[in-house]
Amino acid sequence: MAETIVKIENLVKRYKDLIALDHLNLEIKQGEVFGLLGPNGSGKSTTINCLLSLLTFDKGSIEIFGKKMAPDNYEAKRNIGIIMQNVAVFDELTVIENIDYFCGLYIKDKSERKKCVQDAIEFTELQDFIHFYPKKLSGGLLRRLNIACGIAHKPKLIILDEPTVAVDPQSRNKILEGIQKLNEEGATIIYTSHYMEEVEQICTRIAIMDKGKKIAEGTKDELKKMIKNTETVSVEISEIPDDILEKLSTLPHVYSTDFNNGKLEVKCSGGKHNLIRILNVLQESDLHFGRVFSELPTLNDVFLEITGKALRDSD
Amino acid sequence: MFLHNLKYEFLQNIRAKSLILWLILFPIILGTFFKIAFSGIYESTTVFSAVPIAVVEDGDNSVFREVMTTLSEGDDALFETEYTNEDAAMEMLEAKKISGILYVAGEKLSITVTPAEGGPSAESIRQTIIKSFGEQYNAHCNIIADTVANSPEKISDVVSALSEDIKCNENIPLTNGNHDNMLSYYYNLIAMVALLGSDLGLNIAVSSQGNLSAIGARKCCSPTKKLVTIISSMVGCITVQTVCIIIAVSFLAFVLKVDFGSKLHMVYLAGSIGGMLGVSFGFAIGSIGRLGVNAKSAIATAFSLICCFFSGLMAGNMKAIVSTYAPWFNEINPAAVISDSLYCLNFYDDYERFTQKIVTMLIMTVVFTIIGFFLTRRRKYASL
Amino acid sequence: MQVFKAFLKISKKNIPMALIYVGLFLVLLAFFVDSNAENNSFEAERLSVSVIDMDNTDASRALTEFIGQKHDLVEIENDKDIILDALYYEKIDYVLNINRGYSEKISNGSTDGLFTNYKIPDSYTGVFIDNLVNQYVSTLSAYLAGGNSFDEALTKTEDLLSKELPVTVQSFSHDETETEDYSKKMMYYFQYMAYIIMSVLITILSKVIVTVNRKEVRSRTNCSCITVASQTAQIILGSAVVVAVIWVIFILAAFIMNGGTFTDKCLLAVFNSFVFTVVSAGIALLIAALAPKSDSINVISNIVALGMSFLCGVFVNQSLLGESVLSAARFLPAYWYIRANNMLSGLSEEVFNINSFMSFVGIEAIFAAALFAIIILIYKVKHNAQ
Repeated sequence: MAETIVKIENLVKRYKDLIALDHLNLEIKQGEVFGLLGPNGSGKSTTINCLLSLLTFDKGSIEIFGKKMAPDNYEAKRNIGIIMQNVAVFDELTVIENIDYFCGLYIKDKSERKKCVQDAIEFTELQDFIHFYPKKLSGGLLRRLNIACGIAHKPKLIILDEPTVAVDPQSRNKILEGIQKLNEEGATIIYTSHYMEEVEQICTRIAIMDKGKKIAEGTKDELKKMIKNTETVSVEISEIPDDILEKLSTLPHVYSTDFNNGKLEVKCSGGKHNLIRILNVLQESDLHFGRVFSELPTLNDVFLEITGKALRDSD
Repeated sequence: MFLHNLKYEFLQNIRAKSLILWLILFPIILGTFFKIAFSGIYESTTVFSAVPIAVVEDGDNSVFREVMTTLSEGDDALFETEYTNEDAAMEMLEAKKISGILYVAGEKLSITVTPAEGGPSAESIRQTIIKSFGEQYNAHCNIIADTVANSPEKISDVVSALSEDIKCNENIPLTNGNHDNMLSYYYNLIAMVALLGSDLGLNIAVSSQGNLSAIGARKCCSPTKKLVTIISSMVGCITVQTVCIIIAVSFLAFVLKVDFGSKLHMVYLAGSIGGMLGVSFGFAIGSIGRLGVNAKSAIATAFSLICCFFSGLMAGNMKAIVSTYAPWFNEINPAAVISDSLYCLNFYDDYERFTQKIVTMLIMTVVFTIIGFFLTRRRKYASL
Repeated sequence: MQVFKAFLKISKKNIPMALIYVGLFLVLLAFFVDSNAENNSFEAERLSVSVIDMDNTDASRALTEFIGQKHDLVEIENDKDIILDALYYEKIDYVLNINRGYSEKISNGSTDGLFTNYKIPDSYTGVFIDNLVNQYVSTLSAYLAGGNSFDEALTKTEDLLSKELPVTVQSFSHDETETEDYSKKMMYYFQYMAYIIMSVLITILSKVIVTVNRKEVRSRTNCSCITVASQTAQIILGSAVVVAVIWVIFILAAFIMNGGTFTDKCLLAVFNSFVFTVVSAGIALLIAALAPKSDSINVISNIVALGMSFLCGVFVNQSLLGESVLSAARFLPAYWYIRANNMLSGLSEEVFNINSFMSFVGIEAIFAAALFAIIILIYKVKHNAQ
């Protein structure tokens, strides 16, 4: 059993009338890439800020590396790397100076720091830009600098709060690969995002948040198993009579049909050969159709199903 | 760790060029303006020119005419006299071609002037000259008449007593320093430069508070103690500010040739300590409340301006007014304390009062720093 | 009108800051006016004089009494530092030491070394008392030389010197009530308003404009179908609204604080201040168009407002400034504003004449026009440079 790195119990945070975090429980183990997934305003950043002891909270407890987290828990802080949503670098300092400055807040030894800074630059591939000022960097490079500043001191726990907002796909892939590399080198990662694909791509375990609550947690496969959808078949078709739609929805395993803008979507829960059965129906009715997709559920589906339906149903 | 922080504080301050640049330009430009404006004041109040007057006579006044002629002759004439009738004189007075009208009726003199404006002005000085002349003339006429009536044989003694150049009253200089009244404007200019350093201190507070800036949040998450980062930033800012002050004082003293008295090296010291006061003041303002940098900077500048206003930067007599109505305010107004320290340095031979002012500045610096530190010490915030 | 609307919205956000500034400067203005409004009529003012009598004879006491009639006697400790402080803070204006042996010396006809004094050198008040003492001694010794007994001479001197020269103070307003309407207070209010309005406008307007002109926002606006001319016009229009509000506040405050009615001269002063406010707005817009960063605006505003005020006679009466300074100040708009304002109250040897008043205001208007032309030009050049 891996060591528990972060333990959040019953965390409650209120902003006046608004409950930002509602009895949140999280446990993150050594070596995980833990994803916090949720729409904007769901409480991800609040969680992170509480975790970092930047925010006060009303109830609950937070432990990091087995010790209670507090503003003066310098030992814990030394081992945390933080990459904020907003780029936090000095405009007046160059790339290498910025990295050195922030690294210097953690590592006193000069030669050790020099190596760390060098490693961080190589890691984020900023070698060609070390004497640039942040203002001259493109959005993607700036994000990479932001990351370099957060990880240069080789922390054991790295917290990334939406590091890829407003980043081009190429840079985003680089960033995601980097995170995985850091994880392989032994760091535990907490990653928040509202991009489902990213989380799905790199996270080993995921918690889905909405309105300050954790609504689901598990590996992506576990999460996907929580929902009834196992397969979504979509067909491009110009028109479909209501009786055929009716017929499709009575097929075994099919629980939802939808036709919109020339696209037929049939959702199935369990069973095999769903695609064939659906196509058969269409063919029998002599309907012409274009491209056909069969997709396994994504985290998007999980989220939609849990927040969009399940959550409200239980209201 | 300390040096590491200090290094980057320097780099930041030096590269954030515009603020530093203006901090340096401020005393240079305004000091030059002061110099120009005050040279004019010297010209119009001290360099004397003959006072234009009109004389309206009633009857024959040969004695008066004789006296007047003596006074209106030569390069250093006291008056520029025109003999005329009342209407013409009034017209000239209204057109401000003359400063006053002397009415002579036998041995009786009277004068007519226009209303004086508040405070000393060139015009009121001229009016005073006319009045003193009139009084003296009257007095002399009276004395001579008295002598002629009582003991005419002594008339020559009396006349010689009257015309004797009296040196009965010797001024004892209170100080060896420069007593130019305009000096206080330069003192206040230095005080203003010192207080404008608050903008530097402001940034320390803002960039170390998690709820005010992203960089502050990042710093809060690091294991470096806040005390260390803040003190090193303070040292950095104070050093930069000191350089600005040194440039300002040097410019005033060596380029504009403002005479600060004999202890110029101490002016540098007082100015630098004033600069520390300014930085720490900004630090305290920056750490209060959640306003953004711009709003706080506006508040700090406004506050500096008020302090300098009450210390006499804009109206020279303001410090005197404050000392009449609220003398304690001069003791705690940072600008007044800074400018007073420079004044003490110039006026007093010993360092007692100067030291007192310097100690006041240091106490204020410490108080502001402690306020700032207590407010930024927190690392946990109710909201970000 | 999008730029205009955005301008007003950003201005709204700056209202708290603007209020702080306006409020604060109104307080300063009140102090300025108060510190000058004491009516200095020609009647010789009573100064505070300390007499330290080391001789302590009838003669020295008589002199002390004589000074006490004309001025206020203030007790002071005979300590150099205390005296220096008192002089510096204008608690006293003059300290006269009557030396031991005064009575004896003067009755022997000698006038050397009778007194010593402490005063602020070169001060107007110092010369005033010097003259008084000289006159006294001169008169006294003349009477003594005339064969009067010592007591007689003392009495005669006192009698003679207590007779004031008759002084008529003639004011030349054609209508007495008119000067009433443009009181000293009002006149100083408008004089110092030059400094205040420059400071307030530069600080507030440039902050807003710098935000509107932020490079990214500006580029985005430039990409839209709004022309540069229209953008510039809208910024100017937005500024006009802000400026108008601030100006109205100051004008209302003028009448509330100084209690005046809208009469001819007041209206002229208001008109003058309006034109100058437009000039100040021009200066503010120009600084905003040129200023690289908002953090330097505070310092720049101080340099411009304080500098111009010193050179143009806002803080120091123009009559004191000397020819060479004034001839240079002619190239600054505040100079003409102050001249026009001086004219309204006859200050600084300025005689009221509606035509020259209007020509002064006209010159201010030309400055305003020139400033706005430069501003439009700068925006054009900047736009083309992008």
